[in-house]
Amino acid sequence: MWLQTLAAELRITLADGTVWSSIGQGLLVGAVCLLFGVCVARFVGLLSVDAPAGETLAVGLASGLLVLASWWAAIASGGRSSFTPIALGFAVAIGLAAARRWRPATLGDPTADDSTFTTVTRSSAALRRLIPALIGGAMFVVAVALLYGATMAPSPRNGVQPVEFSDEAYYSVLGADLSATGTESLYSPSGFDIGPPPQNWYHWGEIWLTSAVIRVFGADPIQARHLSVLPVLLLAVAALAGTLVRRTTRTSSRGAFLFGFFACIFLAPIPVISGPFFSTWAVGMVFEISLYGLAAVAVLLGIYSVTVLGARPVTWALQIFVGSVVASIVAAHLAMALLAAVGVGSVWAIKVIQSLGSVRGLPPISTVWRRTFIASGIAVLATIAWGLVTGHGLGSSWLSASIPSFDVEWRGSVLIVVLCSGAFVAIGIAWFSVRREASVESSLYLGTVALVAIGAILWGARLGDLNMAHLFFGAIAVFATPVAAVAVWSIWLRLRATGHVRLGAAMLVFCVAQLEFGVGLGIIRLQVYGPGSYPPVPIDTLGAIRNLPSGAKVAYACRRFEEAAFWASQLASLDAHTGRPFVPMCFQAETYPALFGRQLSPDVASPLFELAPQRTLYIDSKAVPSSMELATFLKDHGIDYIYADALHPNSLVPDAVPIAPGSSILRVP
Amino acid sequence: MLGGPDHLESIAYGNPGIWIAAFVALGTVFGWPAILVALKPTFVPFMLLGIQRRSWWISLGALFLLSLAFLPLWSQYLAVLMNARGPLVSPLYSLNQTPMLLIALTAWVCRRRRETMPN
Repeated sequence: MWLQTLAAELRITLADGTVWSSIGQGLLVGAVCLLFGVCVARFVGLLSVDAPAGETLAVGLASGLLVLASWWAAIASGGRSSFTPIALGFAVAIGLAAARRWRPATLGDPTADDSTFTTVTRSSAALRRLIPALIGGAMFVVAVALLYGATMAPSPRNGVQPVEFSDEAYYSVLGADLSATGTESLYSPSGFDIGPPPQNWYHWGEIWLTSAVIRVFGADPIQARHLSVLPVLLLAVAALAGTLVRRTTRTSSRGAFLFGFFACIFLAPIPVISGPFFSTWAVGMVFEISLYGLAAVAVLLGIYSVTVLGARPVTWALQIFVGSVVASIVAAHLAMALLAAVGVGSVWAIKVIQSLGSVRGLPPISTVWRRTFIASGIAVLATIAWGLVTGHGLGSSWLSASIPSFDVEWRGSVLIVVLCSGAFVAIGIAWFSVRREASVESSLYLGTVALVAIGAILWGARLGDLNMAHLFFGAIAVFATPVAAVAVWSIWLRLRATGHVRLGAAMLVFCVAQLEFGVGLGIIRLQVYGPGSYPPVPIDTLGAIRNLPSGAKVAYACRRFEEAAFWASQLASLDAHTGRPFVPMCFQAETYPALFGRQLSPDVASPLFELAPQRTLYIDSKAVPSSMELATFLKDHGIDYIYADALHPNSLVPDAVPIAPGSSILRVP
Repeated sequence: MLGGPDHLESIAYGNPGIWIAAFVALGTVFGWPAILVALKPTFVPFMLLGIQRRSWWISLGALFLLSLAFLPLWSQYLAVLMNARGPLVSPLYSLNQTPMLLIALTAWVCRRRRETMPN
């Protein structure tokens, strides 16, 4: 059935002209980011002119995405974005590189770049090598965009528009709101002014990129996010993973690059044991890019920087650039930043303990690392400080009292994920092989194991907070998956070098089989996060909503267990397609415990409902506000319209009148 | 590995999985028979076992040419695939048969290198 659905949706997607227009915009965004990023990464000394094509694509695209996203965020927000210090850091790094590069020849660095002729020759040779990678990358972006179009972002058909899954629609609405206001508030789609805090830490990176596409091309928010931005981000992440495999295992093999590339997209634990909801939650980056977006790019570019810094000239330009990359993880996803800190901290703690035991002193730190730590530390602190100054709060972190810490469902989920991890076991085996080496590779394995383990524990400790699941599943998707690919290839090279080719080949076949199963699981997850919860909405209805006055808001009578958070309406899809906020009006009972197999109570309010202005009407589950009270509330909050359909009949203000005969939109008198 | 309930069932019903297990076993020895694993596409990764041998590539070409002779049937095959329904229609459809394929693979991995006679 999932194949048939995919094929049918793909046919509709292929026939939609706006899809191709969005893909074209995505290719343009990718090309601009790549061109700019290659120039910047080479200019500051992160990327070598002689780098293989895949590495140039990966580092160039990732650098371009990070620098341009942070600059756009800083400018479009008027400096209020948490990315502002990072944008400044990138600008300083480029400025320092320019000052170093263009200082008078008499003062020039004797180790500086060679003659112009040689550089041009090498650049043109590198460009020739890059062409197949560019074509492959463009084809990949088109294929991924079509896949997303056939799953999460469906096209209209037969006069109706499928209602996208609320999360995907919500993220798209945030992109549109950012484009309009420049304020990093996750409450903006609620239709109310919620605060303090006026802004929130969130995964704004890819949302800022979406806002840029919306602003520049006037694109539809859902298409801008899913067809223009996410495929380019996925290309950057996968190419970085392939590059990491090659860099860390010190091989130039194309097979290594391709293995890392596809492993990053599809590798995931295969849930062969049935268990709780979260035991099947881990999936490849093909879906997780929608949750971790630019943070995944920043994490992998940070790891890449660690692998190459020792071979690059020690300059403040490069160190500040890398520091800004590290700090961008904070602004792009706090949970990923925490995991990165745990990984780095664990490795350093062990090194310090070992050093204290052997030489009774701290381990020596070379200049390049000392400078990198200083630059990263300053950039991270500046980002956090600026975020606090500009009023960034956590916003969506709420604890459900119904779910105790380290619940049996948590134990079952973690155990099944670990038992079904398959190729991920390679991290432990590879670490055992290199444990005595003082290499980046051994630190990578150690840090990854530590951050996944600690992520699981932190999730269990605060199990009632939905966001804490990112500490475990984000750790697997963003950190452990590319590192597992590195580990698998490292083991393969070792087995081959020691004459155990058959064992190595069997292991690779096993890993490719796991990847194959991961492809199906990834596509099914994309379909689950596609439409299906609601019947499609007529295009005419969307047009009518779009024609409402600018700034109009639309309320609807939601059902008790329908909503998860008052700011992310289940009908956010209609907002994404029309630009008019949809406000759910009902007592919002807690639904999160259902994921842990708990019986839901209609009387227990969602902890996320605490802040909702609607709470004044729906104090508890028994509250039945009068139509007069409802009409007054709606008018007081500038909500002049009600949306009614078969699932949401107008029970709010009975004397509201349709704006046109038979219309689903009613005007509050 | 053979003792699993799914495997005994596969053998009792003559499920194609046992053919694939045989092709994997032959593929570990001769290389080219691994191509025939493609008859059950969900096991395609196991087809790669003989990839380093020339005979494998020749067989791949031969299988491709042979498939062209059955070109009209491919559309029927895709239609059948698309129309599949029921709880077994899942990306993990063949997962429970994978251990059966590992039998030959394990034997191949653990095989001792044969002593070669000095010239």
